[in-house]
Amino acid sequence: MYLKSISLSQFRNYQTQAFAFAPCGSLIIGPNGSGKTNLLEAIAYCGIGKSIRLHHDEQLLSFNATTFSIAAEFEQDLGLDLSVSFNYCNKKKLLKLDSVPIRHLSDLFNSVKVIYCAPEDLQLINGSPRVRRQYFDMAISQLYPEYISILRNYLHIVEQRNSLLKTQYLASEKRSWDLRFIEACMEVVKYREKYLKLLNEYFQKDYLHFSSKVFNTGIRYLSANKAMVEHSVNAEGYLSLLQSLEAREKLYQRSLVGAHIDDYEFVLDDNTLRIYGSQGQKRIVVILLKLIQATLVEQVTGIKPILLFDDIFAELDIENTTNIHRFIDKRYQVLIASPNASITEIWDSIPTQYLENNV
Amino acid sequence: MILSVQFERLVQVLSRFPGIGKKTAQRLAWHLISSDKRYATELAETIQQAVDAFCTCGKCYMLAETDPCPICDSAERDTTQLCVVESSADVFLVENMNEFKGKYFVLGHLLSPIDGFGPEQIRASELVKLIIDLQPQEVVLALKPSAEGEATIHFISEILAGKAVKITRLSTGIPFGGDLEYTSSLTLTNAWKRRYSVQ
Repeated sequence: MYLKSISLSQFRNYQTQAFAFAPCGSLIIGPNGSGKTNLLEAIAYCGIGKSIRLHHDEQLLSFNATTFSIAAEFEQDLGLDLSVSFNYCNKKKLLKLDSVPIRHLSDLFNSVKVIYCAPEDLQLINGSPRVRRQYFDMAISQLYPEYISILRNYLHIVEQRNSLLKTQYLASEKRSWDLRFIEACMEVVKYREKYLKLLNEYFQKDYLHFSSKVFNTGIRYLSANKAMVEHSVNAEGYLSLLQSLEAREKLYQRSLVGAHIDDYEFVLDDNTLRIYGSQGQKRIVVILLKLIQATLVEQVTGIKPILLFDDIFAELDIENTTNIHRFIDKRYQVLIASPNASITEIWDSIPTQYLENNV
Repeated sequence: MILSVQFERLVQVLSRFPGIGKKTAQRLAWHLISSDKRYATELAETIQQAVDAFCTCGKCYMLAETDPCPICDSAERDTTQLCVVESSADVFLVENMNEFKGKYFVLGHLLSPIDGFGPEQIRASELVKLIIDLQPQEVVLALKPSAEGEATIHFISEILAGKAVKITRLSTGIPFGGDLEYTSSLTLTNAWKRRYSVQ
């Protein structure tokens, strides 16, 4: 799919502004503070229904504004049009797909596929486990929209179980919640492992010829419950694990194992990338991760995603930039934001739009 | 600006109804004060009488006009089957089906630690006591298939373990007249797991 046009009203630094894009994409060139990231954030918003940069909706309002709106027109791969609009007013958000109000975000996940890449993606490697969980949960929902409700159900059960741990309970009562918890947790982990399996296949494929520097990269699922990961699904073992943890869980009054605290580890030749990788290797790995994500979205859902690159080329050498260019090569629509007009030399096939200072 | 304290109080009370928001409560309040006064008086009296008339059955905990309730009191009902439901309203639903002729037990709540509902709140020991008294052959757990419902189903089956009683639950899956297209994937997965052979 590709984005044909987007209009923004009172969204961050934009009062009212409309943009049109070619099927191959656009280079968005402008000085610092001209609103490049805000534009990409608005486009990403159309794909996930919230800020990809983890802003709250009220933080997306222009200064002194009380409402904002985003309206985007897409063309789907078979040539059908799709319009997406958001209106945020009085802390309420109205989402419409083709002018029909939609209540479930999974409908949006089903139809709009956007992948956002920015320098802060390094946090996926260096940052806290929460950053990684958020990213992977979103990436999995892009492939399997039903994952959203599976995850939500799991988190609800975690909340119930945590409340239980704060009270005096009967053993049979706890076991009843433990079984619900295990069942929901295994379902979540099943999706995560399925996604990692797909990802790792591509990582090991010398994909994009990037891999001379990041050869043998992979992502491991780290779970406090190692037995479950190693021996796949086993409710019995999990139940006895929970029983052995009971004293500690009662002390901390919350669930100390489970998908809500599991983590992902990036490894390079069996070493933790976070500790042993160079800045360059980390950068390449996160970009590779996003490009593989794009491939998987296309492979599993049949929809070509839109790629948003927010100033990621500043730190990359010519060879890697050329590799990315060769990979995308009109396969996907790509919108690249940069303060530096020199990138137009490599991406010469893509039209350029210039943003003025303080639109 | 509040024009009438009486009116606001009426709106406040009405909006405590489930499913009634402030707007609807205001409409109802306007309707009441603008109608013939006899209507409001009749309504108030009817509510008063109905509320006074109802009590909780000491055996099954259903809301009824008598204690024991007509179902517990009836000699015609089949004591080999006991249906466990969340609320008295569910008893009416099951009764309307005209399929079940056994006895009932109303839990009042489902297990939900967030809301402070544990075994005591769902009357677990009262249920066990009733089962010992009644000696049914089957206990049907007619509870909704949510996280709370599932936990409650498991909990009850566990406290009844070792008793000579068959425990069943309602099946989950595609509703009759439903459309596969509009079935959530979770429901479909459940229906798939519990598929049965065509005989």
